[in-house]
Amino acid sequence: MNQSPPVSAVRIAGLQQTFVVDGVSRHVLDGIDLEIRTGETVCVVGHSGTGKSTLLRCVAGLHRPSGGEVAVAGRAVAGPPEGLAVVFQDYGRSLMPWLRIRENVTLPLRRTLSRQDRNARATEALAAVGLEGVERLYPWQVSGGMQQRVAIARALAYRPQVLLMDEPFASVDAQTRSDLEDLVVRIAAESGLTLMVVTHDIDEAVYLGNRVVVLAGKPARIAADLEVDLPSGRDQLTTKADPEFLRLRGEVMSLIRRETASIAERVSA
Amino acid sequence: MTVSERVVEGRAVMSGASQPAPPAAARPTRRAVPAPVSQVAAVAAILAVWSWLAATDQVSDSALAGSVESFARLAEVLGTSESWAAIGQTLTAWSISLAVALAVAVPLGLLLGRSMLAYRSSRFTIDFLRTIPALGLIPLAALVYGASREAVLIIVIPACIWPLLLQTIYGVRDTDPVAIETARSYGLGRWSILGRVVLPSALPYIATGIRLSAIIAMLVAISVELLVLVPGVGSLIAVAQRNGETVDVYAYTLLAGFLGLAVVLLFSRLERRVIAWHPSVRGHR
Repeated sequence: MNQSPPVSAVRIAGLQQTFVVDGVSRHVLDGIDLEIRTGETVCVVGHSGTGKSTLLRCVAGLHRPSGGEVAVAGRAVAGPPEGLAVVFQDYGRSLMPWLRIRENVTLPLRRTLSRQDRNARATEALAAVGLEGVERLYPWQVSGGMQQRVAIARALAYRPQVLLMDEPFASVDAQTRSDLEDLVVRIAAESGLTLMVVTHDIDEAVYLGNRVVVLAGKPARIAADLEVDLPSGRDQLTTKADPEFLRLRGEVMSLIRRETASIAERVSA
Repeated sequence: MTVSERVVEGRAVMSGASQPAPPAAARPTRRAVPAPVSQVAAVAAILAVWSWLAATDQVSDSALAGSVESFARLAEVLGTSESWAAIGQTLTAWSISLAVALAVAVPLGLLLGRSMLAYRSSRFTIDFLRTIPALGLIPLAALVYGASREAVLIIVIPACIWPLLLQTIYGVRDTDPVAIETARSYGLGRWSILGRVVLPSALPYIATGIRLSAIIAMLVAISVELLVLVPGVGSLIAVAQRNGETVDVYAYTLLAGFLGLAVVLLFSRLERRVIAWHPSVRGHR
C-alpha cells in the first residue's frame, strides 16, 4: 500500500522536559530517544508520575518540549500534528456531553468532509468497535466501556497514521478492559496503524505491544526497550500463559522494582 | 421557580451584586404534595389574606383595594389600547436591552473567560462597576435624557450586562480542559474550539445568565418608567397613584407582576432545553 521507503512514524531525539510550577522547576524527561516504526505498537510502561503522559503529550503536540526533537511521519512537531489522534483516559471528559455519539465521532471531520461522508465514516468506525444503533444517543447514556469505544471510534474515523493512547483502559472494569485490549489488538493488526500506548499495567503493555519501552528514574530515561516476540494473534488466555509472555513480564517488573528500590534507598538515605 | 428564588433574584437586582451561579440544577424532589397543587394553594392563601385585609378595614380603602375588584379592573384595562400600548413600550425597551446585553456580554465574556490576562486585568473594573446600584443612577439618567426611552435603556442595559457577563466568564472557565485538548489534538483551530467546544460547554451558564438578565431587565425597566414617567407599564402605575386611583394602582401592579411571571416562565423553559445534557439535570428528564 505504501510505496515510499518506510520512515519511522514517530522519532523522538534527545527529548528534555522541565516544568516550572510555582517557581519550583521539575525535570521530568531527560534525553529520551525513541523511534517507532510504521505499523508498530509500542507500549510505554512505568510508574505513575514517571512522565509517560508527558512523553505522549510531547508527541501529540500538546506540550512544547524544553529540548530535543519530536517528529511525526517525518515532520517536526510544533503543534498537534496532522494524521495523529489521541485517546485519553478520561472518556467522560474527552467526549462532548452536549453532542450525540455520532456528532462526537464526526466532530474532527467537519473541516474536511461533507455531512454525508462524515456520517458514513461514523457508522463504519462505530461498527468497527462493535457499537451499532447508538448514533443518536448521548455519550452519558451508555456505559463507561462503551464511551471509551466511542472515543476509539472517533479516533478511527479520523483515519490517523499514528494513534496515541494515554492509559486508555485505566477507568473501566477488568472484563471491559480485556475486551477493549482485544479490540485494540485487532484494530492494530487490521489497519496497520502505528500505535503508542502509555500504561502503568505491565501485563497490558506486554499483551498489546510489539515493543515495550520501560520509562524509569527521576528525571525519567528509557530503562529498557524490549521486543515482544509473541505470535501476532493474541489471546487473553493462551498469550498470557505463554512462557515468553511470562519472561517479558518478569523482566519489565524487575526493572520497575529496581526503580522502586532505588527510590526507597534515596528517600531513606 | 419558587418564591424564595424570586426574592433572592429581586434582592440581587437592588444591590446590583449578583454572584455567578452554576446552572440551576433540578433540585432533589422530595414532595408529598404535587407541585401544582401546593402552588395553587399558596396563591389562594395570599388572595385570602388580601381579601380579608381589604374586607375588615384593617387598612384604609384608599390604600388597599379589594382583590376581586383589582383583578376585575385588570381585565377591564386589558381591553383598552392604552394599556396595550404601554405593554408594547415596556416590552420594546426590555427586548432592546436584552439584545444589546447579549451582543455585548457573551462575546466579551468568551474573550475574558479564555484569556487569563484579560480576566485578571479586568476583574477589579468589573467588580467595581457591578456594585453601582442600577436604580441609584435613575436621577442622573432622568437629568440627561428626560422621560425618554433612552433613559430606560441607559439604566437597564448595564444592569443586564453584569449577570450575563459573569455567567459567561464563569461558564467559559468551567470548560473541561480535557475536552479542549481533545479538540486541539484533532487539529481544531482556535475559533472552532471557541465555537464548538467552549461556547456549547458554557451555554448552560449563559442560559442562566439570560434568565437572570431577562428578569432584571423587566424589573428595572418598569422601575425607571415608574420613577421618570417614561411611557410604559411603570408610568401607568405612577400616574394612577398620582391621581389617587387606588384600584388602578393595584390593577397595573398586577399587570407588571404578570409580565415578570411570563418572563420567568418563558426563560426557565428555554434554560431547561439548553441545559438538558448537563450532569446536574440528566437524570431528571
